[in-house]
Formats: sequence, structure tokens, C-alpha cells
Amino acid sequence: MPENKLQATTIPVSEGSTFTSGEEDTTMALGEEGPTSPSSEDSSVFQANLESRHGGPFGAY
Amino acid sequence: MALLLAGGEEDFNLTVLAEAAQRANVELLDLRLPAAESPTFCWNLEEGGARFNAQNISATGAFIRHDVFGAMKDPRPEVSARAVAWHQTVMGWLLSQPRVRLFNRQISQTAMNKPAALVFAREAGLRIPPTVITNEAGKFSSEQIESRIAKPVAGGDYCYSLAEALGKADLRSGLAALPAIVQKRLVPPEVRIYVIGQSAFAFEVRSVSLDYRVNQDAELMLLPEIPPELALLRRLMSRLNMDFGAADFKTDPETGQLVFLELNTSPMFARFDQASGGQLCAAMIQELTMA
Repeated sequence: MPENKLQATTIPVSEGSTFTSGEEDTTMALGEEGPTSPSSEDSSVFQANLESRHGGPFGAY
Repeated sequence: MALLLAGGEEDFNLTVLAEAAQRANVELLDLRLPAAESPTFCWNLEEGGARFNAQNISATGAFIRHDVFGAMKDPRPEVSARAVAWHQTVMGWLLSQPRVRLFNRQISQTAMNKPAALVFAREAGLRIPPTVITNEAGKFSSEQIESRIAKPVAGGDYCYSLAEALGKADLRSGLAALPAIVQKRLVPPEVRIYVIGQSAFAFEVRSVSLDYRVNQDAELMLLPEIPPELALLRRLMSRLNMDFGAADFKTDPETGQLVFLELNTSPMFARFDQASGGQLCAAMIQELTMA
């Protein structure tokens, strides 16, 4: 279904993704629950994770 | 009958839900927060009532999402702190009002923990991938490096091939800084099942990427039939006290069977709603406003 193909200015499919919102390239901060997230996908956690994830899933010292 | 909507003003998931409420002629109490200004708010615990922009807050149902979009546009800590504080405030009021219909009101802490949720999923009868959670990154065999993926134990980042993840890792004496979830690599088709109270919807997510979120190259298709894993998913969600969520599955290359990956407790849904012709949000509105 081509109409469902994600376009550059449309909304992201899911959590924890990089997306283009309007005219601005932004990092999608919808990772699943983080350690300080009470109940939802938490931007602060996700951004902290991204910043600290230079080592990928195994992290860095 | 009023539906309270709370979160960030620029959250497109809330936008489509608000539009669905409008189509259903549901009165909306809009507590979405603009980026650069705050409404007046006061909740006097002795009196019990809360006011938002001088209006007493009263609702029969509510949907709330943490505002993740403000902080993406403006990474200053103040922006994140503001989103957390408003979320805690409104969620606090909602949790104190047991008569307000709210998804996942009594959700188990286990639902927020990926490893524990995997164990519970297996106990519910769902197939899960062979999984190791470890920081012993120097111990993998070459066969494992070829056939496994790695993803962060706390979420918030992408899924990588194990080889790529090890390439990024900062090891000291063979030990990584963090434990990660290491799993057998699965293959398409990838399926997401939304459970919305009594309703459920399944989508095939087609992408050539290992993690479709990286390139946002997914195509979504509403499946005409929901896979039989739904019954087991409902069993898992019942144990986790969840009535709203989206579970992700991929396929075991050897058996062709769907394998459970994770259960999102506050999933995004706007694109899936679009792919379903608005059925997702319509079901959410119905669940949140039913008498």
C-alpha cells in the first residue's frame, strides 16, 4: 500500500526512532519505558540513553 | 461524558485521538501543554478538586502521554523537567480519581521491565527468542556473533546485529559497561498487535531494515485476521494488569512461527491508526468513554 509508506514529512511509525517532523529533523524520543519513566515512553530517558549510548547497547565506560 | 486529553500539544498521537473524539461527538477536556506557555493549574488536596485554566477538571475518561516532543525540539533540561512535572501532576490527579476511565491504571511494574516481561510472556505461553542478558561481550562465539542481535536492556535505542553492537562496545577485560539483551536474529514478517480493551488490531510491518525505526522505511498493513497469539497476549496483559498496549512479534526463520519481542505500554499509534482507516483511535475513544 504505497499510501502507507512513510514519507519524510509524515509521522513516525513507532517508538525510539529518528524521524522528520515538519521541516525539522529531530530524533524521535519515544523509546519504550526507561528507568525514570512512570508509565510511558519517556523523552528524557531516551535522550539520556542516546547521549550515553556511544557504545551501543553495551554502552561505554 | 468528557474525555480528558493530556500531554504535549505537538504530540501527533494526541492530535489524531482528539480528531477521533471530535468525530465521535465526545466532549474533550483538552489539557495538552503548549511549548512556550503554561496554563494556570491548582489542585488543592484538601478540597479535592483541580482547576486547569480556571476550569474545574472533570472527566469520565482520560488519555495521557508524556510529552516527548518538546524536548526533541529544545534539548534544554528545563524542557524535559517541565514535561515530567506536568505529566506527574496530571497523572497524579488521574490516579487519585478511580472513577475516571484510564488505560493501564493498575499496570504492573513488571510491564516496564523488558527482561521480566519476556519471562512473563513465556510463562503466558508466548514463544520468545533464545535470550541472554549479559555484559560478557567477549564470550560470544563467531556463530553467535553472526546469528544474534543486541538491544539495550532499558530500551530507548535501536536493535543492532550483535557484530555491530560489539563493534560499538567499549570493553574492559572483555566486559561491557552495560548488560544488553542478546537474542536470536528473527526475520520478517513482523507483526504488531494492538490490544485496546476488548478490541484488537494486527498490522504487518514491512521493512528491509533490522530495526524499521532506524530508517523509518516501514510499510504498514492492517491484517484481515489477528494471529492466534492474541489469546496468549491477552493472558500476559491480564497478568500485567494492562488493557492497552502494542506487542511486537517477528518470525522464527526455522519454524515460521511468530515470536514475541516486547510489549509497549504506551505505544505510538498515529501511523497505525492511519493505516487502519481510523479504527484504532475509534476503539480507544469507545473504550475510554463507555459507560
